[in-house]
Amino acid sequence: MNKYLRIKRLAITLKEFWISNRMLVFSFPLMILLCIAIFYLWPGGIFYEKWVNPDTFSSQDAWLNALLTTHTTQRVLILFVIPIYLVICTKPTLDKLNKSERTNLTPITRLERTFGLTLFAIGFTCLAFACFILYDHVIAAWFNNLYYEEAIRYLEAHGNLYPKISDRTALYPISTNILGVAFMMIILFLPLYFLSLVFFRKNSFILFLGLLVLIIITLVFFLRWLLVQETSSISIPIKGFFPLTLNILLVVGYWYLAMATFYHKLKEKEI
Amino acid sequence: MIAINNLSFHYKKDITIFDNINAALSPGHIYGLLGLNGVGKTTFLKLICGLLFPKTGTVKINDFTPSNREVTFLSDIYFVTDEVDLPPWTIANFLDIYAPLYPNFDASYFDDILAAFQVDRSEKIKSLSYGQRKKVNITFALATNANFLLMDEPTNGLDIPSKTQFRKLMARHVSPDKTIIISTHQIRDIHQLIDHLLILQDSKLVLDESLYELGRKLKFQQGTYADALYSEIGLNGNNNIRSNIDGEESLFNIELFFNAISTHPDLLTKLANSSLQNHE
Repeated sequence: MNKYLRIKRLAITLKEFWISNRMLVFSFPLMILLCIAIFYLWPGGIFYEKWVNPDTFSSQDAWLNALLTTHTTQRVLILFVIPIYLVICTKPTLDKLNKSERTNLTPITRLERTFGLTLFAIGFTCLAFACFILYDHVIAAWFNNLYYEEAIRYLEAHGNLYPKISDRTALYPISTNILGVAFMMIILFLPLYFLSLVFFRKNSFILFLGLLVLIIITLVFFLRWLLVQETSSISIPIKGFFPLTLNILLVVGYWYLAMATFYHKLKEKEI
Repeated sequence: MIAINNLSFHYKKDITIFDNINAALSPGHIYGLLGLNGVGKTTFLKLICGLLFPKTGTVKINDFTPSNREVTFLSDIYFVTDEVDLPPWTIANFLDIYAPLYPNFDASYFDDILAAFQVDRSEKIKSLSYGQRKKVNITFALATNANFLLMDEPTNGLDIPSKTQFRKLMARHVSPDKTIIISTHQIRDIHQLIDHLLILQDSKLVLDESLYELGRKLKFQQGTYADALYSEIGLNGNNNIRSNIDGEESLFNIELFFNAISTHPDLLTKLANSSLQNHE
């Protein structure tokens, strides 16, 4: 029975998340904007010096040189506000699944709980990414409008016949590849986080962290042992469809196993 | 029907909470679950609703095994816990979210009870006092129209008018298809409601009998009686429990009866013997 999934009850689990966290969700765009503002206006940064302390740059050329040589792709780190938000939004629910009598007697199956939690987390991550990308594009377009022509003229004046501005500067939004890696990291973190709160009955997070560290240490020792034993190696430089498929299968396999473990850990606990 | 067969339970292996308990609780009654502190009243309720699992034996509710927590079963049972664990939303939101999970939920009944308890539907649950939150929980429990209603200290935290209101509501709520179990220490709050007594003592269910049957065996009288099974000094003289040999009717004093059983466990043996003699 507990493996049943009804859309009505799934919608109720999503509504539970929405009502509990809507203020947090609404605050997210502001939080991202604040983080971006802090990133660009951090004392010592080129924009802080340009706007708050303009005397730092002796000339416009000095400013343009700084603009073209300063890489600002680190702003992708702002995206790691998303897991923090996810933890704040979902931890009370995950705790209740471990402890609350009412939650465990609410007529919702654990499959519906698992799906609801996953959908909320992925949905929030996607919206948060969309919000960040939107801000990033708007800000890059604004910087472009302010400095692009000047930057090109500066490069041409310095003998660059084919001026090209690095896409790591503030004049360009973050590349899709970098965003993709950040997205994958957050998505891969999710099931581990879910598991960490239900894996053990008490102090689950700390114990699970300990378990992970133990697994990683064992793995490192095993790999080191393999390397020591290795007398020859064969490397097959293949690219294209098969390695990509293998990567996708590994990620999907990891996700499936982690979520299946989470689902089984939710199995009727004694409260 | 709640069928409990050879139920044993412990949290730690060396501390037995229940040892081989058997009971069959049929619908249409309000069961009063009594016992001293720490005897396992809440544990008993948790075993019935499936929050805890028997170590040995079984609990069955209409062919459902509570520990499986099947949705059909869960939508027909409600457990009013002593500690109120409701979300911090408004009452209206709480209702919108959870009412659809109970097929027999009656929204107008919910509004009526809430009005009787003088709680505003638009209030935020987190801003309510403990007693008010308890009222919301009781209101929701009754409005679910669940056939199995378990209540752990439901009158704790209720003000005096609300206790009266609670008694009225419960009296109206009971029906031939509903099984209600109320665990409480405050027996005076609900003694008019209960029609069947369950008493837990020393890991056993030492009493599982209707008040009607008990009233046929015992009578409660004030005064001095040499043949009293149990006496307690009261403000207006001695309160006595006597064998009801002559079939005289008296108001069943649950509190006195419980005190008698708690301090003189042999009273139950006497009671059983007198029951046998009556049958002979």
